[in-house]
Amino acid sequence: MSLRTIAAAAILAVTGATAAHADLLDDIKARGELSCGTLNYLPGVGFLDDKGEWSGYDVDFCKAAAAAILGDPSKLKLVALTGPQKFPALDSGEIDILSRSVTQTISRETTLGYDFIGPNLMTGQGFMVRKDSGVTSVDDLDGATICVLGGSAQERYLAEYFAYKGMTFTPVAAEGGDQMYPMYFDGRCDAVTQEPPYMAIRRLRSGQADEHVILSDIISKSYEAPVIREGSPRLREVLQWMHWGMITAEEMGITQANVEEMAATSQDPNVRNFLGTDGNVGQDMGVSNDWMVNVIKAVGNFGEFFDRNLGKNSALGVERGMNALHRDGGVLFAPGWQ
Amino acid sequence: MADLAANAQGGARPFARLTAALSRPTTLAQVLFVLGVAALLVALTLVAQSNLERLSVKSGYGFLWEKAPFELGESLIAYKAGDTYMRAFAVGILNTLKVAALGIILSTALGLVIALGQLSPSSVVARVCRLYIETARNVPLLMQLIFWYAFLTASLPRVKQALSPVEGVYLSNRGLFLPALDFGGAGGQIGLALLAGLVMAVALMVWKLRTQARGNIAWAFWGLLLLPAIATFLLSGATVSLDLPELKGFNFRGGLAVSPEFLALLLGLTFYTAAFNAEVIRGGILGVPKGQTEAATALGLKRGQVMRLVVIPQALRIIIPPISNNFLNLTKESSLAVAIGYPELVRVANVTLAETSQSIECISIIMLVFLTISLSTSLFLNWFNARAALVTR
Repeated sequence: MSLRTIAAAAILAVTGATAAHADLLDDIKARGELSCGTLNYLPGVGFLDDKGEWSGYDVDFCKAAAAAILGDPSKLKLVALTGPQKFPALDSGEIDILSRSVTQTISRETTLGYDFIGPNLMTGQGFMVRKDSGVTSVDDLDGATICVLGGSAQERYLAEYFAYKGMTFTPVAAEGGDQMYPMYFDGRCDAVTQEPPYMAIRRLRSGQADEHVILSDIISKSYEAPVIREGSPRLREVLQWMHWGMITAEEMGITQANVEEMAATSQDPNVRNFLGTDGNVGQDMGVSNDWMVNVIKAVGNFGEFFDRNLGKNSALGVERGMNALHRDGGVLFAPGWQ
Repeated sequence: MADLAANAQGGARPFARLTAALSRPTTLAQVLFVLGVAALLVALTLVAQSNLERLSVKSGYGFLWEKAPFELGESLIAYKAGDTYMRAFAVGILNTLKVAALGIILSTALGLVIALGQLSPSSVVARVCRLYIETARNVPLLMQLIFWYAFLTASLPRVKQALSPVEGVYLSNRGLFLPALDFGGAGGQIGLALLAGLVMAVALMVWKLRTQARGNIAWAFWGLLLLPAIATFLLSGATVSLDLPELKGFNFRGGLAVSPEFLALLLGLTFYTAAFNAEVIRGGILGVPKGQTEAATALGLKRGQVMRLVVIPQALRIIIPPISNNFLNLTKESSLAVAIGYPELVRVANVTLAETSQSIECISIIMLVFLTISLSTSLFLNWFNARAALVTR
């Protein structure tokens, strides 16, 4: 008991300096730089290339946040984190935002003391098969051998789904992705199961991309979201409305290419209000009025952001699916901007 | 009164002995050490308990009767997702025992061949055997398992282009598929009868060795071994048919399937342990005094007979204790299979742990099972060693 008190006191002593401030938003503005934790080895998600350039979906969220808060996407310090490092880095204040494919769950949000933004990537458990297998849906996989990550939640969903459908399969459990994908590509398994974006990345790297197809069926959901520490309500508001703003921009047809022109010339009161040409939305939040112009100039609207990194304009070619606007059959929506 | 005095005296003497013992510094240190270990255990238990309560993890083994929501791939008993965790653990334990038993038999046989090869008069054979031993012993077992697994899955053809040297035998990177005998529903009973026959046949052999009875028992041996199974087969009225594996849909169905995970593990464990066994057997053979060989040769025995009748029986006494150690190591090292996905005990425990968060319970089951297997193997081999040991009169 006393040991725990000492540990708690020590943690408070270390983190006290940041905890004392009212809101992390003010700290970031005072510092003039945003610190964002991400990953550096998955092209399309978070990748640091041999020229020192960062790219990817999770990286672009960080760039957008820097543009929103500081008006410049380059006022950004990106920190590459491994899986076990990600939450300690956020807890200790080393990073302001964690944008690293974190799955939003109720226990993380309510008992661990984090606030989730978005969620900005809605995916689930899918399947990849060889094109020449003739499989077009999960239900064709009766009797198949399936590679799965051992001890993962996917292993459970897989067994539950097949039992529910009255189908059989033989699992081959792998310790990690680096063991699992070679097994699948060598033909040990008829299918491999994981989230489609990750399967798309491995397919691309396998050098036999056109021989494999990712089925559009999803048997379980997984919502991924950037994370901040609890206790900075204004930072949370800025980031959440930035996410909604990118969706709103796609709804309004505002793109990276036309955003400046729209801001200057549009007569639509909704567009003028949204881009800060009229009104005071930005300043009331603690950022500049043209903050969404900066965000869209940096990363584009949600569709451009998705398609460039994961979607049809990327090498991965992941379909929008659930990540499309509500009017296009997806689940993305944004509250009103009044 | 006299009784009382005697009692008091009797009670005082052990007490005096105790105080005298405690006053010796070594005893005091030992007592303090035992108390220290006990205190550490109590503290660990308390810390674990309070942490589990804080995480609101319910402890205990009740989860073993809950439904296990995962498939395991290969099993000696019927198992499917939705059976209990208990049954899943039974599958894992049986898979561990299967690979350990086969590994022990094969690694001993291969070890004997390699040991004899090393002692062979041909220097080429001896050098090849030496090279094998040095390679197999000095490459970590985990690397060997990964090598065999990669070799089997990456170099063998895909299932559609499976190699088929003989009708009904298929080899692909999905494993080896063999024809199986199908006895209708009577397969289990016939198997049990065969096991009973084996026990009787071995008992006969032990009896022959102990009484040194004369005469050829080969016919009696095979009779005892096979008759119960044949009788059961005839009495049950079962029909026998050949169950050939056949490519249906994604995989081969029917017949006997040996998965690449199992094959890789068996090959890895066999080749690794055989190298150690070969050295133990070679040491045992060299430990038999040269005079024994010379005397046997002088009696006109051939080289093979000298080995079989004179040297090996005496070498066994030297070989059994260290080789039983190797057998135990092989059993324990089968847990490395988790790296290649063979569903043995540790893999079952890992996936159960991920599902239920009962980490202490799962780890304790692994430890208990390996302890039980190791101690019972050890007990058996000690008993066997006592039998084989030279009785000095």
